[in-house]
Amino acid sequence: MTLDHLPPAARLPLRLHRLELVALAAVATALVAGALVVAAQLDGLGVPTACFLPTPDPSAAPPTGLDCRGVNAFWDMAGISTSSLRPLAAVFPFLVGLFLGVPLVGRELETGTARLAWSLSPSRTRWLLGRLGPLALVTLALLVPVALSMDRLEAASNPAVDPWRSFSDSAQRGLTMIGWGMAVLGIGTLAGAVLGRQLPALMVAGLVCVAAWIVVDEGTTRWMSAEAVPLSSQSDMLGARWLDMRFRDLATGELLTATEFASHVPPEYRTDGDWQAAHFQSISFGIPGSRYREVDVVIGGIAVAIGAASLRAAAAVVSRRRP
Amino acid sequence: MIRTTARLTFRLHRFELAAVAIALLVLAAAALVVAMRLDAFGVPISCFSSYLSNGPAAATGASPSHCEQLVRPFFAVNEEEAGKVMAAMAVLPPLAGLLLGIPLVSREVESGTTAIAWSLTGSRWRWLLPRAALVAVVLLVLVAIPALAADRLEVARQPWIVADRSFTDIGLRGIPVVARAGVAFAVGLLVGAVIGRQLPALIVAAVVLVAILGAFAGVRLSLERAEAVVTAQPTASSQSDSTSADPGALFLDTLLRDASGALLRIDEAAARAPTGTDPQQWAFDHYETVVLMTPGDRYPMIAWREAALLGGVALVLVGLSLVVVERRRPT
Repeated sequence: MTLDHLPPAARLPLRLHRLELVALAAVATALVAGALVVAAQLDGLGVPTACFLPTPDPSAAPPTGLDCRGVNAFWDMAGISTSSLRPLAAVFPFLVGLFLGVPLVGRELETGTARLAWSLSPSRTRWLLGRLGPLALVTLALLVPVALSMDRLEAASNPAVDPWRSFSDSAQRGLTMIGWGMAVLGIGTLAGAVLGRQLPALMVAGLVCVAAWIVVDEGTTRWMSAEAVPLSSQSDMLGARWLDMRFRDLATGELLTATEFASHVPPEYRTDGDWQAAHFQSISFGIPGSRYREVDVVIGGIAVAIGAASLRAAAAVVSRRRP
Repeated sequence: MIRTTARLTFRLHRFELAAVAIALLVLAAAALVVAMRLDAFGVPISCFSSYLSNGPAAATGASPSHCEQLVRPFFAVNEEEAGKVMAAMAVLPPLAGLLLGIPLVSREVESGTTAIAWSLTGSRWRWLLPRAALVAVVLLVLVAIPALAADRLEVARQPWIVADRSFTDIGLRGIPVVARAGVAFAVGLLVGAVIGRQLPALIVAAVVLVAILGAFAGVRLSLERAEAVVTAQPTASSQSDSTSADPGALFLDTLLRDASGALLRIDEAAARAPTGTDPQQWAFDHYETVVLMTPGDRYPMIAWREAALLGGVALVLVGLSLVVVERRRPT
């Protein structure tokens, strides 16, 4: 299907961004194909799931009848996804949002076509929404398959845990990834509308996105830290979001933070693991994997809210600024 | 004439120039601050040699606990802060080159101003060359500042090595960084001139730059292997002595040497193992293990050669940009 088959309202914005769309679609296709191929290869190795389950003694031989010889080949192949696909998937929502959002208004202002476009449209807000709608749908169409394929890759590369109950690689899949794509689309649109030049807007939007990501990450980490529970067994750790290590003083029963623990250990025992194990019990704190969906919805929702607020601000800028 | 062109060029690209200048100066300042923080630990070299050869528990330069207390925070800062500065050195200078190279032609084409600009100037070359040269000179001077600061940081983060005789962090400091930024600028200029739109050009130029630098890394490795020297593998007991003899050497490969002096890859030697034996163990037991390496004192020559080769690539790309600008339609 070519752009000519689309309704006129959708055709124009997509035609204006066709070069960016082709490049981003190529990256999305490569990511989806790569994730599905690596996942199929991992499945094809046929390593039993029991080989990946935690055991009390990791150095012990596997139980009789369990063939775990393919585990090394499995980890080698899983390493391909870690080194190539996942870093690209992590930046992909930022690329989509920036390269579709910034030129949405910024290019029209920079090339001087906004003057004519805005004079022909009864409302600048309606003009913006008409341009934004198809691009927002395309953004979703680019991000959703990538997010789902990364979920599939996660299931294949961590067979011991359900990807929907695991925080592993959570920023590169699920609603978090899609939400950040929409947030960056909004921030990019706002930066383009304010600055009216594409490359400067791209730089500023990139910086704002990084700042927003840090703030949201810090905020959600604090929220999760407040709700962290002890992860007392290896099976508790499966899929959990590890947040903190605390230490119980076996003599007093007092629970210590890492800093307090360091001050409780005499200098001569700082490297003596046996002495420390005899006097303190280390306890991991975190969020169990069963809460992954809830956290994914919250982070994705916050990101979408950032995008919506940015778009609202962009609409205000567009309706008031000189063309 | 030149002053007018310079003023116009800087005015047209003032945001990108200012942003790139701020980012590169902040990076240089970060490198110097981290270097001073590392220097401030004042770790004796004896602590490092013991730490590096035997691990933290055996750091016995002065008393073990004293060395350990000095070395641990040193390496924490080295990894956390200096590592991030060096990672930024890999990304920021090429990105600066792209951001300054791409808009030189593509912004004019995209906004339709080339039609009048090219019709008013006698030659499109004369229109492009002064602009490109001015921006390129500013870029290279700006990139040289963090490149030199990163050299200084390298001295601080590995005080047991003479930095200008070490391949550690090659490409992240010194003259190769400036050359990479120059190539990125030329790639941005060419792709911007071909595509004529800034954001698509940025995507394509980034891909082209990664491909060029990847191909160049392959060429560099081939050159280094051709010029490498073969030395005996240091034994466990002589490891620290050997490390201190040429700690800045570039390790390329481990090979095996047979009685005739011929060099074999490990898999080639293992293929000669009799059946019923562990092939690799047999190979290591029956052949002398040697390493293929480039001595650290060749670093300055190789760094300058890398810069010269990349500079040549950049000049070719600028030449292609001139051809494209000469022949393309102005819209």
